[in-house]
Amino acid sequence: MNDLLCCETTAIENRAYIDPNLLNQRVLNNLLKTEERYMSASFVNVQKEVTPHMRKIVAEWMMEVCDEQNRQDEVFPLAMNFLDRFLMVCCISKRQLQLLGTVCMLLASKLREPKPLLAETLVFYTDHSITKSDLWSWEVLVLSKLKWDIAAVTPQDFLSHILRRLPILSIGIPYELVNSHSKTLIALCAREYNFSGYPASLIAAATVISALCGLGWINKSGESVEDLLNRLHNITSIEQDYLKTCTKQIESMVSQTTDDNIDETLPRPNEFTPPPTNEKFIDHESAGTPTDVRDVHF
Amino acid sequence: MSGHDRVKRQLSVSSDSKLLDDDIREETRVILRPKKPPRPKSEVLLNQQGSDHRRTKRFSAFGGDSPFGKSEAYIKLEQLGEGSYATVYKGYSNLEHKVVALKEIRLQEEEGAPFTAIREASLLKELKHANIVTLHDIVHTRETLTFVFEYVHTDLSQYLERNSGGLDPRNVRLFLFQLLRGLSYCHKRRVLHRDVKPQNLLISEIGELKLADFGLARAKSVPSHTYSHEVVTLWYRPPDVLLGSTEYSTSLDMWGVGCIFVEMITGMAIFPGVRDTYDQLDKIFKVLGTPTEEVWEGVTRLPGYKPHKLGLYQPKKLGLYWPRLHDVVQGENMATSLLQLNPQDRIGADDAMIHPYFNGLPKKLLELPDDVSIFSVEGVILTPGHYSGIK
Repeated sequence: MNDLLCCETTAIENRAYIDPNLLNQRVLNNLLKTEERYMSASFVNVQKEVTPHMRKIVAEWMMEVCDEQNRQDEVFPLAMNFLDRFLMVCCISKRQLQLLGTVCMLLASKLREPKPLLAETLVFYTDHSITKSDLWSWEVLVLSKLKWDIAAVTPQDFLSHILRRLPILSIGIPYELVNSHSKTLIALCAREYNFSGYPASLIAAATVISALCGLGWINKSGESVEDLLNRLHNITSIEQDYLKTCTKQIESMVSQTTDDNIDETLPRPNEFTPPPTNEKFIDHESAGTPTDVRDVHF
Repeated sequence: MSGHDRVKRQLSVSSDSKLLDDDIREETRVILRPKKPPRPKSEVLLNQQGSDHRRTKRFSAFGGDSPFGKSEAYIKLEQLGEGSYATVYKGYSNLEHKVVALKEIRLQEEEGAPFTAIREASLLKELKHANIVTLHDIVHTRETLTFVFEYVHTDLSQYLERNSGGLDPRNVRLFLFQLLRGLSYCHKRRVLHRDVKPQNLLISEIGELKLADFGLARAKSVPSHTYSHEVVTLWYRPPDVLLGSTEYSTSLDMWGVGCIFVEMITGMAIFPGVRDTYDQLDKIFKVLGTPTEEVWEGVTRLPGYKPHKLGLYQPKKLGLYWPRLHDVVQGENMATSLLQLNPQDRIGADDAMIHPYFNGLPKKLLELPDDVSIFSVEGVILTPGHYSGIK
């Protein structure tokens, strides 16, 4: 280790640049070919206790944890991919669902992030209802059940491939805006059980369509919705019918979510174990200081 | 709202729901190989297995009815090496009656399975290629996780030591081609190796080269990924990363390929930095020249670009610096394409495979299926004996 030097700063995360070697057609084709392997089917015939509704509740909790911990956008959808695939093959009791969700976040974070989530932090978010030793047993269980096949293809993986192939800038829409809108929609889809059986490419394509329509693509480009569907079809080879249906589902999900948000002025039902209010912890987190979280003793 | 109440109880996991029951634990036997998916097991069968006490302590990656995944299936022989989180042993597989490499990883109290292990195993599952080491099996016990790899008898670092003074140029060409073939496959699957160095390139007896140690590798989808900054051992680290560039990608691996190419020809590590980043940069710039904005746009804005710490050198022809490069047709040209200071100018793995330097090799090599070794092609054979320069 002597010849390794660390000039890493905690404040800035290193982002990969856009590498033509990773955006060419062959990479896209490989993604389209491999995504099937990571698709999930319905778990309702496998699970005796866990229902789609419970899945949504645990998903919302996971999304919140990822959000509060400023995790990369792909951690949450990837964790949901693990969760769905696990539920497809292993029947668990409903008491174990939050533990499963926690382990899935941990694994997704370990796989994708330079500074993975800490077990301690996760245990804290479950209000200490699980222990680290639960986490370690289940980590191995989930890995085995998924046959260690966790480098899954997620909708995010398709996003830049799709966006690069659309004349977004020349039509006068800020690239970053489309990118971030699409990512938000991808996260919202990951939360919904309805979308869990869809291929990643379809989710990615449909969220891009929704995002672009929301940002005025139709007016600005002078193209019809059909033209846009056709463009996405040409990039991903997904049938336009599927694209249309999925886009519609996304739009109705969004309008529902917006309705739900209005209700949120009411006190939220306490559906999952909330983190205990610990001043020290919250201060520490929200300040975004680069101090190591491990220094904090709860 | 009764549904709500039920859910509320469900998610307020209480501490009595901690561990897996033994039943579920037994259910963890799954088969690793994608070609043979496990048959879903019935509860009855699972319970039967649960009564077998010898097995209850082990999570296995292979099916309950399969002999794989059991630690008894492997005999641990001598230790081959020790890394920061794992120990590697030579082993013997009682199932397949062959020698294997056992990478034993200690599970940590604080972090569980190391992220390096998780990345390595999950990426290797996706990568099936003749020039990438094969992961046969995964065995876990309470304290350890063991990856069972194919056993490859040496690595390029040892091979270079045994053949001091440089390798036969014909062999260099075969090794380089295989290295590029393995990397091209990885890059097409959006995986960067990130730690290309001779120690991580395994060499079989017939001269097959296999990329190993994917602990630092990661699958990437562009461009939203973050990377940890310092990942490549200094000697094989590209100047852009040394200068603090945070924007690296496939070009990161290609610099290492360039260093290894010249090292195989000359027999010596070409940039053996001894002290720190600036010593390493000095070694590189002495040969390739100190970069300026003209040759590399944006270089002066890199965080590590400190003119007072960098010597001012003119670029040299690589063939003058390493005359051995002239022993082979297009050798200097190949090295120059790989060892470009500016990452954007560095050749990619795919293009490098069709570089004129490889003109002497059978064209068939470019069309081989992924899992087929180049040595299956007639006429492709390792040149035996010690190379003692050009006659």
